Amino acid sequence: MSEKGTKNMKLSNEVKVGGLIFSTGLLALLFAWIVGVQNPFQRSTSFYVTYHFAGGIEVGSPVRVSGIKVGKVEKIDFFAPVDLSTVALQEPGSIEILDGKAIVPLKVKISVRKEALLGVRQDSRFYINLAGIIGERYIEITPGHLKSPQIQGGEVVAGIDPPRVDQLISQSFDLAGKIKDIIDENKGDITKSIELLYKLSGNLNHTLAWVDKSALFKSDLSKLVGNLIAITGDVRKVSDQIHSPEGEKTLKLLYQLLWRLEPIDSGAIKSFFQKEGVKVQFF
Amino acid sequence: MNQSLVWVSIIQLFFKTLLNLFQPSAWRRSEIMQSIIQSGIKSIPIVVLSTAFAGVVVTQQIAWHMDLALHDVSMIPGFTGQFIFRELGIAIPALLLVSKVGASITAEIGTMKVTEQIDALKLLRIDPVEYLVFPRFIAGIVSSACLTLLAVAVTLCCSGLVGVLGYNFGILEFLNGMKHFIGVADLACALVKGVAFGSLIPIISCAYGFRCEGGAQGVGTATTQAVVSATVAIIILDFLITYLFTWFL
Amino acid sequence: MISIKNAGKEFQGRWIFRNLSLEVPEGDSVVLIGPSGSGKSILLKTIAGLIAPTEGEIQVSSKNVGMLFQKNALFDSLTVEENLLFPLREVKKITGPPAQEQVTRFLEQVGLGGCEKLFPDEISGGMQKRLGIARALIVQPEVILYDEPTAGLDPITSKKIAELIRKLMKETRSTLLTVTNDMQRAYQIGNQIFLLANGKLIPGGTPQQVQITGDPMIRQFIYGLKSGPLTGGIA
Repeated sequence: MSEKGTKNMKLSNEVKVGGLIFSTGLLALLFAWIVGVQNPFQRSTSFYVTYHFAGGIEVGSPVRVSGIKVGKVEKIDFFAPVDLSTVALQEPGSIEILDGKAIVPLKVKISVRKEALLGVRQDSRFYINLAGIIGERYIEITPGHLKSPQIQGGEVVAGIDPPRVDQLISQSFDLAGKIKDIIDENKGDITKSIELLYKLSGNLNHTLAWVDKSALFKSDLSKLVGNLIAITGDVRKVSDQIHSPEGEKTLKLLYQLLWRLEPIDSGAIKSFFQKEGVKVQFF
Repeated sequence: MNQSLVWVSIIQLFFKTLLNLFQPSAWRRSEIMQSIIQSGIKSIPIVVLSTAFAGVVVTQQIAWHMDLALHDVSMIPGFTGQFIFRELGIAIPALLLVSKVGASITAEIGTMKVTEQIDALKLLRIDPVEYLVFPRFIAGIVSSACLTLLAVAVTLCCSGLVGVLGYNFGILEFLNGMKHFIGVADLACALVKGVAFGSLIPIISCAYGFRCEGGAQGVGTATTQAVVSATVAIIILDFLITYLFTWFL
Repeated sequence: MISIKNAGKEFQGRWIFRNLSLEVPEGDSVVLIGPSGSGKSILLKTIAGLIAPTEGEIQVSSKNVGMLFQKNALFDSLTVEENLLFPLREVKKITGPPAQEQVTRFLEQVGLGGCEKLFPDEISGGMQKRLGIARALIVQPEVILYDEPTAGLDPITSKKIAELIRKLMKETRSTLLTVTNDMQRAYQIGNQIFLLANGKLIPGGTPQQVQITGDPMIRQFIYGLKSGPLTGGIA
């Protein structure tokens, strides 16, 4: 119910509407660029990289060759069967064989621009990396040797798993526990050894001093013996120090430290890592 | 007016309007253009003004909270960008369209109803849905999609301005920080919401207009009810679309 | 020709009229009178096909029906001229100079020459009525329904409009059904006059017969008596 205008106004209406649609079209393109939509006409090739652990990679994560973004992660398949030859033998226990094919935990499909594919070869390495202040995960491809064959579309290659920080930490806790156990069990032995060392070096020093005084040995040997006296003197000093109240204190402190570590169970470790994980995400 | 009956009539009207999509005679160019001018172009000033202020306020708020809780404001671009792209830049123009365009549609159609203009149209064998609803429906979709993108752009610009002037961000730094948090799905989600709200507003408004009874008071009541219903519908639909997008993407 | 057989309309559990039968022969003019709220307008809209009857049968010889609405129902966002161009374009598919030429002729006929670019709310009530008549007639309908064509107009304008209706009827040889409560216009326009009251249609015959009728309802109505069958005997 709205044709107030003449033909002229109708034309200008259409121009206005056209302008609105055109300018928002431009905005849409700008946004598409900001959010990282790739040019649909850009020619890219997809291939697969296998991992046991992908450390936070997700669909859409960038793929870089020599540090330059050239593609993205298209798809992630779980427990996909692949040819045995492409499986990186990192954790042999985790690979299941089914009908002559290995079942890998993760098969990541990535697309890489054609021109960057030149450097992606059989001996390229596929790392998972962390970038920027907000910890964006990406796949870094190191360029391979030119002698090595170029990777073809659809090919499956083995990636290099990122370090498992979680495992590392839990293993170091195991280690700390073991050290504590050893010290705990052999506390008496260790103290005795130190005492014996003290006595031994005392005797040795005594003997050597006697040898030094005896004229019989006043020859070339005297220099060597002089050194020995000095060394045993040092050893005595060290064991003397350990034996001193300060040394006792140090031992006690070490012992206490290890004892305190004991109640930190796996839950505490986990919550610690979640916190750290949040920090890693944010900063 | 019985509310459940209203929703039945709204859904009926929606499908009747959709049927017109395949009818070449329904594509009345001058009516659609005029409607886009009314609902789209004439809404640009109010949308730009409101979303500009919204962008400034939201950035300030997020910065304040981050500074308080995290003692760090480096996440401003990411957080504001995501918030603007997912909710703020979409909900504000939609609600503005409800109160500006939706209300005027209900009032116009309602007046036509009570002054028997709708009957006059029917007597001329003109389908009121085809002649009155369909152009507004198409115009609503086009306008809302355009205004949503415009609103997102304006809000982001103002947010960026606050970031650059108030928190010493570089422009590229700000854009980059945003990029990490916004994906193609967010852009698609924004457009889907824009289109959905743009189609919803004219349908609800027209349905209330057609149900108008009595005189000026009837038109006033219908307009109020249309605005309330459309606002509630938009908020619910917003939730549903966001939910579907997070579910499937 | 309009033929109504045992028509009835129920609205929210109440029968507005029931078992109503009426024949308006081709080229004839019938006037319906009746108290407010007796359902005259609803009957007219039922005949126009805007409302479906609850029961009974309504037949109109032509699909090309023109109607003047009680409140004129002019398209208020269109100018006077566009109010006539619009039906021509939508119904008759006539556009451009031929349409313009027809519109000018019709506006001259109803005395609205020179008002082409004005909007309906910028012209007087009588002019709006005449524009409404012009819009009803521009699609050259074979059946024309007039709902209160002279309501709210001064007697002189009313008379002019009634003359116009009569004149246009002769020119277009159309069938007329008019609803009015203005008895002078009823005598002027109608060949037959009927009273619709209490859901029943009472034939009153020709204008001359109506004026000397013995029917108490019609008598009460046309002479405006306070007590009688229409008001249930209560003063």
